[in-house]
Amino acid sequence: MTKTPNKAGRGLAVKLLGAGACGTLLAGAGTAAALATPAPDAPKETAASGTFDVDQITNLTPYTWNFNPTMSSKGDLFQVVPTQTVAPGQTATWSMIPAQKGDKFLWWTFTDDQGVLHGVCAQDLQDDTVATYADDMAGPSDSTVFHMVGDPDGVARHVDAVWNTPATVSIDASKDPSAAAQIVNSELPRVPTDQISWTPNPDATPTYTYTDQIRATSTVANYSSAPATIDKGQETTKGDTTSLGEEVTAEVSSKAFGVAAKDAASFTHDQEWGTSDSVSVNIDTEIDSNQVGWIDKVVTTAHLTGHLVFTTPEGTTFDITNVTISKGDLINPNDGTPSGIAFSPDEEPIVGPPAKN
Amino acid sequence: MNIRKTAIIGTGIAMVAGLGAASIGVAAASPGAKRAQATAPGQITVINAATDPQGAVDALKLYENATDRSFTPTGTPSYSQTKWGVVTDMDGNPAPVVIGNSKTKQSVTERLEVKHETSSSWSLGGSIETTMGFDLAEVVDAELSVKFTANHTWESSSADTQGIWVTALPGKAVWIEASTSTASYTGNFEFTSGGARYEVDNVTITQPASPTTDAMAVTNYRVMEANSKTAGVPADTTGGLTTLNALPRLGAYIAAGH
Repeated sequence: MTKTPNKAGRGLAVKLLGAGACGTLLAGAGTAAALATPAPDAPKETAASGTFDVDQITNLTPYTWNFNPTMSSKGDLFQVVPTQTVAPGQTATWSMIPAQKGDKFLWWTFTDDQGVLHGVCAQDLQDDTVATYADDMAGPSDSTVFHMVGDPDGVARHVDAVWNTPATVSIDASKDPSAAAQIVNSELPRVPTDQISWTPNPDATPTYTYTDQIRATSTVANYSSAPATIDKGQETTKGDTTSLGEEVTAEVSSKAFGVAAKDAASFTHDQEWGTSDSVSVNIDTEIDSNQVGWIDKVVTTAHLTGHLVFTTPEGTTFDITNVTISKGDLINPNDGTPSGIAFSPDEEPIVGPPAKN
Repeated sequence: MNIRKTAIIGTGIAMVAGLGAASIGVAAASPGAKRAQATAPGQITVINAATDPQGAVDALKLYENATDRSFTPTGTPSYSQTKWGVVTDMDGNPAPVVIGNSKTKQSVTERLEVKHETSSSWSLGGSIETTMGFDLAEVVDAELSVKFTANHTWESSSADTQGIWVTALPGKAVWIEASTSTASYTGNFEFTSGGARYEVDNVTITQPASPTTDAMAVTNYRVMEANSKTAGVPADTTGGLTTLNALPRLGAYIAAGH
């Protein structure tokens, strides 16, 4: 069992404590069933506002941890509840009620790509320190694949869980977009650009999709006696994204696209994937009396699929396959005037008198 | 013959922020600020904006330059539509009224240009922006557009404009009214500043948005018309553009619901 350097000598004593104590063997079918069960006993926060001392464990392993309420101590223990999901690079934070410290344990667990269950355990102690442990659940002692060490920031009760050897983690974004998005969101912002690459699939060709017709302008209801006109000008400077999952942050999307666009441009010479182009279009339409009018648009979007590879400062390489970059507004599928947006006017009769102000 | 005149109204997209259930104004200093400044590395300050809006504002002043920051919505946006009202600029001045020339029987045409200005101010007395020094909604907008309305990521347009041309026939006064769709969403901010961690919960942001259209299309307009007599315009007017404030009878007519 591994301890934080600032809490030497606590490990063996901790191991003798109750069922949730760090080091207790909980692997096997029973544990798997327990982990799959929803957590009615998830920890609750007792204070809505205030400033509290916190404990922190930064996840420098290649895997996402989940807080395990079944293995953790029960009750209203926290001023700030523990972070429930901790992706690589993220930091778990919590603050335990001082009177509860001493014999309570927190567990996060994760399964590696070999199917082996691991646990990260923390115990708040009454002297305001924290003992932390890296555990291979099936084994009787400390983890052989990761260890705990004080974070270089020197902040009290801030510990890192560090993977022992460089590792490569592969994720198929088409099969597990949520995992891909989570990894990229948490990791990519701190990865230097020169450690990021995106390569189109060998047989990839751009594909194009078209949005539904959506309204591009305001509606104008013309209650006057003379025709009215609505016009629209649009100058677009970029319109790109990188599809890695449902909720990739804008920062990540932009950073990944910046890298991918260069590779895509060299791959498809007739396709502009850059982010600094601009195009300006103008359109207007007349609206007769007692009509409501507007301008619709249909946006063409180009897609190209490849795989994204990046290496974190800790040496973990993530290889994420089936990452699609997409670009709207400016693409030009038919070698025509690059616009990517088709505008069309629309109009219909006004129904009823104007609503009161 | 028609006469065309152009009025450019900087009808910016106003953003509104509220903390908790109520909108807020901001004082210069507060206990919340003292608490926020006292937070040290290894500590976290948790603020419930619903019960401590002042403390929340003071903490959020740190957000713009914070690291490891996030805004996590705790629900889906709720959309609503503002009441119809005369189009105004960012200073609250109404757009001009266009009046036909009764003397020469000429029509007069006006163009109202609407610009999408994402950097426009908070609308509640400007209190939040003035005090915070930045536009909170704009800072989180990119993230929100990804999470709420993915189609907005296709619209990183820098210079969208739209204009509305309206014509007043002789004997008529014409003006433009607007109604805007807004979205309100509540969520929690988390960020690190000065080595300390902050969590500001239950922050509600309201800004112009629509579930189905891009930012330029969230405001609907209508072209309204009244007889010159109803508008209080002299019978022998030569027409043109005039301010609504110069036509108190028309103002009263509009205020009374036409």
